[in-house]
Amino acid sequence: MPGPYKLYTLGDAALTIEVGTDFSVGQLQEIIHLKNRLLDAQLVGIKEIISAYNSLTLYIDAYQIYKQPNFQGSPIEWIQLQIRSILDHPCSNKDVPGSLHQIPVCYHESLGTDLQRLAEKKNLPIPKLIDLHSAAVYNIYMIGFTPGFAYMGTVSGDLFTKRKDRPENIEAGSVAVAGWQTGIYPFKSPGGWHVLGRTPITIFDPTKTYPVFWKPGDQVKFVPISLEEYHHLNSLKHVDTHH
Amino acid sequence: MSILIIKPGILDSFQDLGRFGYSHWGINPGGAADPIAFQLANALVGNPQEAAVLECHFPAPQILIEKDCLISITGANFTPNVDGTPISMNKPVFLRARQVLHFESPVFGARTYVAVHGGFKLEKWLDSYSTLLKAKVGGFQGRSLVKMDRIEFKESVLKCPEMDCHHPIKELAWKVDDVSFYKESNVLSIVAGREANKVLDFQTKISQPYKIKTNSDRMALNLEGDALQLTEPVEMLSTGVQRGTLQLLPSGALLILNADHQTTGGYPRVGHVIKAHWNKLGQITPRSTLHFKLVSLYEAENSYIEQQKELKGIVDQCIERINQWIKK
Repeated sequence: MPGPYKLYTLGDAALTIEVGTDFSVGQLQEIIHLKNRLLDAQLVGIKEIISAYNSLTLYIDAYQIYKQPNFQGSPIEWIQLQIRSILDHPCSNKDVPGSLHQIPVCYHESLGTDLQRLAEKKNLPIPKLIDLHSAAVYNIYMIGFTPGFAYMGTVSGDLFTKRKDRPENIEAGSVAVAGWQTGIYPFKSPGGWHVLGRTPITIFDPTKTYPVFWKPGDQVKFVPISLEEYHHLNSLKHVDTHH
Repeated sequence: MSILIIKPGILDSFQDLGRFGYSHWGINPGGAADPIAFQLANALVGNPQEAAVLECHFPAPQILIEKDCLISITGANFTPNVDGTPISMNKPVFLRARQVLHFESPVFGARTYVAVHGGFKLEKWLDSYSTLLKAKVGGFQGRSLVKMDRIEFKESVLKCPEMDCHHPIKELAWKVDDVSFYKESNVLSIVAGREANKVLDFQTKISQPYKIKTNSDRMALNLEGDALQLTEPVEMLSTGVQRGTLQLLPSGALLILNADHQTTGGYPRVGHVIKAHWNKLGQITPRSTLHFKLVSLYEAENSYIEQQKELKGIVDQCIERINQWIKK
């Protein structure tokens, strides 16, 4: 059954479709499917559709809607009616196939700068933390914060930890956890998540046709590698980017 | 030929109206912080609205003109000069090779826009010229301009009029009046946000004057004022956010998302600057005082439609005049 969807405006230039109050894998599929349907409908006046954990947010241009020949009344109400009619129209085949990405991660303590602290806090040995983190297959629920930053979940309850009170500087490629989420920092940036390791994979590459190789709905599995393998893969990357 | 940056400004980046359709990669729209000034700049020199325009903050750059060209300067008034002679804003102005464009002092606004007839020769990245500073891509080499950067012009068939040493600058006869777009420049109309009803005494609190903190930039404006309090704790999942959104931070402070905001956010949304005031939002300077005025959604929509109609009228007139002038 589709819905029930809650629609609400964010000022005069955006509209959010809320799908449930929590998030789940089933709902993730529904959100992606819904986004595709809205894109297919090619409604005039929608400039962007952002998918998040339990919602889609549409950027609206009221003037584009106003200029349409059959337009009447309030642009945002008008577009809401059109969206409603799409949402209420039942639709089968909800499964949107996503890709599975295997991401090598080096969980060495020199790179996983919060491993020790988290191990002490959780009273678990570091190898156990690594096992817990790399055993699961995660879903990408949302991409935001910076280009390419994927919010993945959900992590094992034993890894659940509140984000840091103060953001710290985090290196590009850092693999980190916060709450039920895990993610990779594509750029060196401030962040409040707990760093468990680092990947040599480039998450954001503007020279590629697809500068980010994943999208919401894809799945991710972390594959532990040694520090030697990490340095080796990193050196290959540097050779690659110079050409 | 081209322009050469003799002395860079504090943040000079190429922008257009933004990069849409890539939020699935976490790529935000960005674009000119003042979309009205951006469009006026292009219209004055007869460019289509997809052309890139140079957005400058103060201190602004010193620019050596290396080829005769037709330019326009719009948005913030930083008192533009050519070799010591003031030049008009909001007008098409011919400059000659070897002249130096510079900006004396800030009189109004935060961002000035420099357009050149024919446009700057840049590569689009994901359909847009906008500089995405965080990811170091788009615009000119993905960054703010530095000394000795040379930016080429696209091919232009425009013949510059005769200019001699007595008349080294030629301003064309018409001017755009942009006053109506910046009325009450430090008053931003907002529509109440989704979580506004969870703020204690919202209507009173939001009417207080706010000071713009110095750590404000293209990403966000940080506001200083009495802290807002929530009547109950708000737990929310991150959702898509947009330019103009007023987010309430855990400290009780407010920030307004600006052009380079991220695509998603999880802080309570207490209000949204109406789209008709995004140009004013882009011109608010650090240390200035800001007031909010609550309006209805309908008022917001109408303001935007009226503004766009007015803008379109001006843009069409500009294009017509410059085309007539070129034909002559």
